[in-house]
Amino acid sequence: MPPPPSPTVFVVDDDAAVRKAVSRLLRSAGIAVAVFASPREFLVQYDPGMPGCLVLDLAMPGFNGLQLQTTLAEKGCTVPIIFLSGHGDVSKSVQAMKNGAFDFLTKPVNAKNLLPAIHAAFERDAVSRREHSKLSEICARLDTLTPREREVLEHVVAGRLNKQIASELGVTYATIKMHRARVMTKMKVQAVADLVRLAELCGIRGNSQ
Amino acid sequence: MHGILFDITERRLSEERFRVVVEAAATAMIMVNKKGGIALINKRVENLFGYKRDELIDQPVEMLVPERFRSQHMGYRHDYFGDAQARPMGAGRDLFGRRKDGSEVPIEIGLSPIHTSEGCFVLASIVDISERKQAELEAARQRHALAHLARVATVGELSSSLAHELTHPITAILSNAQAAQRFLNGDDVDLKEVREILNDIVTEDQRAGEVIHRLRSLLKKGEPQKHCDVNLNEVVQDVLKLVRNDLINQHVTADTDLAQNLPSIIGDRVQLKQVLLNLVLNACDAMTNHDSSERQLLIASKLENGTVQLSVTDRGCGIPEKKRDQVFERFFTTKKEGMGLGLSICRSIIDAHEGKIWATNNADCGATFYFSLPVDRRGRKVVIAE
Repeated sequence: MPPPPSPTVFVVDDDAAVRKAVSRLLRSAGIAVAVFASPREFLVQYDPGMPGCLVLDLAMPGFNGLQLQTTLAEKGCTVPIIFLSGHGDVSKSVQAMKNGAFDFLTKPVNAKNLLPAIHAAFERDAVSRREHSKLSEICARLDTLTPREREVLEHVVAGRLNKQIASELGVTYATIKMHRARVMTKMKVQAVADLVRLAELCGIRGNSQ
Repeated sequence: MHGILFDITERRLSEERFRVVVEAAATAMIMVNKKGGIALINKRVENLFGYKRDELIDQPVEMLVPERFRSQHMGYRHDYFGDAQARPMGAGRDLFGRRKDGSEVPIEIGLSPIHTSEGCFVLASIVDISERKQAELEAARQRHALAHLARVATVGELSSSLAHELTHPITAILSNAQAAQRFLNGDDVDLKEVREILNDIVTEDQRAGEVIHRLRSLLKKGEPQKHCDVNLNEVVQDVLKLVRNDLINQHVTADTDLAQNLPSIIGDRVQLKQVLLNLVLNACDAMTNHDSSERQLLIASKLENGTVQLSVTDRGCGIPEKKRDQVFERFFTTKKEGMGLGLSICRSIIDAHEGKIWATNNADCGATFYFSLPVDRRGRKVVIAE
């Protein structure tokens, strides 16, 4: 696998002077920066495959920071968001935190607070990207199962014994054993406990009928 | 000329009668000949100006006029004798008399021509209006104090958004400065970059200064500046800068439709800003219960019948028809936290500028508030030329 591209901070702020100054500060810390004058501009240009985090102004005219946060969440985008707010707008900041903001800093923001927050956000993004790629790999394995194997998997996750599954599905014990062995191979696991864990990661619940 | 012949004794008698009438008059009276010499005064003139009778008789009347008006006064006097009619003097101007001790007294003067065999005289009857002026000044002072109080309250409403306005430049300054510190700690210092950073810091500092200046100009008490040239389009821009963040927070979009080459008017910029600020904040309040896509505000200026007219149109709830006449009355309010002073102060400010302020409901929704102010007459020629 090629090494992941270095993370970038996406600065979204409607004030040109603030954008310029913050991106300078980040460059001085050796951090890659991309700036956007509005949430819309960001949405048009953003590639979710790019690792990094958002530094987002809370109060902007029109489509604002909170709306961008919601839109990204709807798209299933988990990029960490560090909000910058001008004045302590309590209700908005509570809303931002409830919606899963990574951090919340007030302007004027001190480098002492901003840079550690960005590094922590990078770390979180890297972890979630690793998890995400692991998950998609497991899902890809899952996709290789035949419908019958998948059915067997669901019964296994529900904790049934081979005998029970066989009678449930109206096939022989040997057939179930064979299906089960294939599922284990395709899912690249040795123990049933691991199989159950992976299935649960992919959101598969046991067939409890 | 009314040539009437008098017998000498009869004339003496008539002159004596005239003297007695003048002496008994309830106001100060001065009779002046065509050359401007004082021919006759009464006791009240002595009291008013502090001169003895014999210090005034045969002296030029200009000694009772403050020095700065003297040469002008001689011209007026000359013109008057050319077309002598009974009329008040100095229509539209504030008149002052000069006392013996050099102090000035505000006065009103009525002029009547008197034709005699010795030629034409003018009889000036002079009223001391110090007390009335004092009362007017007091009323104006109270009006300004109230207007100032309302401005302070308005700034209070705006304070959080003004604080926000300040955070932009301050944020930029801090990040720039900290970036420069970090760059300077590096091995290979890019001086060009550091120089640019310093320039930006200076620019942002000025920007912060302007916000503070705008705030201070609203808060300062000072004397009203009634005689400044004011361009109302600039007032609109200033007010929009003041409320910019408030509009953002309330999701209000503001559009302008400003007439080009708008002539200036004479007035007090701060007070006119206050009027517009009030109208804009009211318009925003009127729309708080509406969907944010409908929160639109239009500020327009135009030239209309020799006045500059400014209007603020909202798409809010409008004014109940029954209450349309009351909105400018003191203590009338529809707001929970309102004192009902804003619009009444707007009206008193506009009245003091000899303008008009009124409101109408729009055909579709919301209301429009207008005020109009007379165009500066000195500017009118320019307008015609355009």
